[in-house]
Amino acid sequence: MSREYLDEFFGEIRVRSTGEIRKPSRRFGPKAAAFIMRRVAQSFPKYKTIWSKAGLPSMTAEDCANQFYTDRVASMAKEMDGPGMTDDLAFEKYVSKCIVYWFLSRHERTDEGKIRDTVRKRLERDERFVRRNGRWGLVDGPVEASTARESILKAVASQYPIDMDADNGRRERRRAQNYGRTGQLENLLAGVLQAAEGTLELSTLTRAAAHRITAMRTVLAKNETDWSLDDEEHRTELENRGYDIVPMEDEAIARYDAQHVDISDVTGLLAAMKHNGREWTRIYIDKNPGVAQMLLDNMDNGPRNGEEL
Amino acid sequence: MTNTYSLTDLLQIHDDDDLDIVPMGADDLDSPERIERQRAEGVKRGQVWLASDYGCGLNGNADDGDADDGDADSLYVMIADTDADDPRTVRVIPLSNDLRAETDDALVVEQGAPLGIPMVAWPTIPAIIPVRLLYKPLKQFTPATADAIIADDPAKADPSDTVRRGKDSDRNDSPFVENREDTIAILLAWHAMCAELPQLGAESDGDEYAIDEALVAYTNALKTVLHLSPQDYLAVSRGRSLTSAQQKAMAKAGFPEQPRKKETIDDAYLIMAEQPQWRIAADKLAATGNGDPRMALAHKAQFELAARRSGRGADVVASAMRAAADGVLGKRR
Repeated sequence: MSREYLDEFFGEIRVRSTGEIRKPSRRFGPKAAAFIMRRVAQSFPKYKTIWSKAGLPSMTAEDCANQFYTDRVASMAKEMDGPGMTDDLAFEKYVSKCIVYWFLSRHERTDEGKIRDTVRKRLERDERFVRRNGRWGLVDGPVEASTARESILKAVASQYPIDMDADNGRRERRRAQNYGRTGQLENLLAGVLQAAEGTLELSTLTRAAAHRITAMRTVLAKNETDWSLDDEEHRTELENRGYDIVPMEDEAIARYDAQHVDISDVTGLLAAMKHNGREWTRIYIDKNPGVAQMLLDNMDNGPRNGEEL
Repeated sequence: MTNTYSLTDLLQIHDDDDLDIVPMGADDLDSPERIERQRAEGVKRGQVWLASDYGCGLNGNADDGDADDGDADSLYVMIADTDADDPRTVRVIPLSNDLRAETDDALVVEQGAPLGIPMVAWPTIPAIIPVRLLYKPLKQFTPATADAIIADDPAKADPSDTVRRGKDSDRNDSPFVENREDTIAILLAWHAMCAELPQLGAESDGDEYAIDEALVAYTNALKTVLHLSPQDYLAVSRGRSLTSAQQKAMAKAGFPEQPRKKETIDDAYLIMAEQPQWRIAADKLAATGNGDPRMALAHKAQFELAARRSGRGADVVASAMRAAADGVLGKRR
């Protein structure tokens, strides 16, 4: 059970002859750096397209490793103090997991990544859809893989209404992203699967949805002011058409608004946090200062029940 | 930040043969002996700990019971207050080693945190959490700086430390930063775990020498019916099984079964078992068995080991707990 990374992290590196400190204790050193470089280089080819999409086509594996390190060094250093960090194997496993999550997180921040992630979550949450052998289908639809051409599926997707709030890109939160009003994206996905007459891969469904959403964005960019939610006339028009006017800055906010969790029900709140994920939880806590105040409440299991903790 | 070097810089360190990793001194923050010593000293105001729910035996989120899904959470915390009435819980102020997380309701300890790096403290989100979550003790703030953090007043800090008011920035919105909201979410789950701690005050009448009549009658029968020696009938009362012939004889005499001693763990053991001193043994138990590792330690200490200790009260509890923990860790005494 070797502990080279741990000894290096917690130890101080000095120049033998002069006593000069090259690396203070509690900092990562060259062994850890070399491992991170190697591991990032290993994953880099798989995620190469992220950078061209983000307008950084010259990003190298070494640039990625340095960016990863800047992003994650604080949480990795904290992990070094934790009970899971028992030996070098545990370190390598943990860092590898961090690197994969980092690439995925970077990917999700690209347009395609965001849409793919949203499509997957919507498919998982809606009872109309089912996952079979790694492909998605309709619960009462055919089990076989679809043979429909992608251009047909994109044409079908284009026919579904996706109403967007063009103003969202300028809002305070930079999480800007929306996929139409409640249920619209799901209806599009169901329509595409219906036309596919078989199951589809997540990537095909994502491309069909992206085709529709990207087209919509282009239109919005041209007519931005017409679609602003600040525009009272437009708001009234949508309300007349029966839409629930909610500013949807991103999917998490939409879900936050759709789900009313009773703050006094701690178990229910924790379950909702777990179910809805980190973005939702951040928004919920940001909007409900009462959550922080609960942290000193009596949890009803003090000595001789009922005493104040 | 924890590191001012880039990864590329760190690799350069390697290119020098004249380098040495200096071995840790006995009082260094990360020296195993020092950590063990501070764990044994117990929990005190102003201390910094890494708290972690890894293998803690509590769920904190009763929806699906998957407490051990491998995604343990951890936070640096400062002890704000211990609770004399229930030493199983403690009031903490969360800290962060990531300066990107600072907010305008935080304090930033630029100099004076025992980790030797600048840290963010959030005095506005104190939380009561189970003591058993405390994992690694990391020394303590100076008393004045601890007071300054608790009072949320940087002016009260020790003159040799540097503490300033935090400020909001876009950086704490990054997915790579564990920010104020993430910290509150973790603390809420931990706070909820307080309700799952074993119930105290379960002793029937508070008289630890109360005698169970059925058990006395059974033990007498071991002597009068089976003619067992004192050593043997004590062994039976501690769990040794009777042979089938002995069982038949006892059944004939009107004792078909050994009356189960009501094994309610005393508060003293339950409280003692929660202390961070036993964390390593508890984590080892949690990795190998089911159920609450602290309860298991307390049970083993009280029902298997306490009777073999001399002395009374707190000394027996401490010594039996030490023996239970050593047993789990495979240490000989």
